[in-house]
Amino acid sequence: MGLDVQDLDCDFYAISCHKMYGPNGLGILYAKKKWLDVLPPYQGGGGMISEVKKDDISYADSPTKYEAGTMQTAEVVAFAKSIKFIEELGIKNIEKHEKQVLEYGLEQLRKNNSVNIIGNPKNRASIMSFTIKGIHPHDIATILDDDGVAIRAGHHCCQILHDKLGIPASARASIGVYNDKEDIDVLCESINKCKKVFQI
Amino acid sequence: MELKELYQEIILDHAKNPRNKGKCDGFNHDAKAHNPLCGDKVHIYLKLEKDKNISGISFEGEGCAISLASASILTDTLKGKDLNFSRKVTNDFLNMLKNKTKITLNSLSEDQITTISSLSGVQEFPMRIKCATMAWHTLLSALENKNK
Repeated sequence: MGLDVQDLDCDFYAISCHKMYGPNGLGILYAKKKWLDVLPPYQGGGGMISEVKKDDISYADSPTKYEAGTMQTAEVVAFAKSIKFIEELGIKNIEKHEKQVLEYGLEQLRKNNSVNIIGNPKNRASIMSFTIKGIHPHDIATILDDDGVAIRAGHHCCQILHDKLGIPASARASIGVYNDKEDIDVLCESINKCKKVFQI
Repeated sequence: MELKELYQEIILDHAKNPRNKGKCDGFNHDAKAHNPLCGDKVHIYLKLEKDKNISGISFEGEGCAISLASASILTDTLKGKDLNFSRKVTNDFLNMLKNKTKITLNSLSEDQITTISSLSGVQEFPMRIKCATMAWHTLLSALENKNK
């Protein structure tokens, strides 16, 4: 999803790099300069000071005052490559590709009577959340994994929503730039295998 | 096939028809646990007699087939057994998953050993070991927790 922080006019925006084909453990915090300048540093460490006296301290200018300690240099360099990767493909092209695969995926999953697709939003990200009657999502994930299909199972940091939906957990298949319709076929076949393993 | 080792007939049977589900009559020990990462929950209830015999044992819980089967098998195996023996079985079970040892306790019937050992397939699925061990760890807490 493309976004423009200036158009959004947000004060802060947090980004996880691993959601952009980047490394784990790294993120970006965007903040308006007016906030960066007035807020105090949240952590002390190398590189974030201007001058330290016995009774006084002054900090480096923002954003440096928030960047205490040693940087994760390798991850930062790797993330620059990830951004380049996305830019070269083009976010619009990525969206178009994912949407095609997603629509095919939803169509295939809907054909399967045992699969319950969760939610039907107008603007759907390229994810499909689902449950299979009689099989817990963790068991689904293990069986799919055996076929080389990696999905996520659990409550996806949304326990309250799962309570409201009346389900203990859900399974979620995400579509990325690497996926194509054939992957969806493998997913669907593997879902049928779940039913076979559980004799449903 | 490893997957077949994991989802054996015995396990599916216990998962679909869990034994001793609910609160057992007159329970005097209990403990519960939940795994926040996956959402599995288990609550074990025990009726421990003065002679340290477990006259009643049951569980409530929700989760995957492995966790339900494990809790069901636990209650089925330990009903009527005494406290020390239950600890030994638990120890053997946890060792089986951790160190791939076999369960050999004399006082278990061959059927019971087969049933408990059906969970040994979990060894090959590190992500799922906690599903299988949660009920047994909870049992150990329940043996310590006198409730009423």
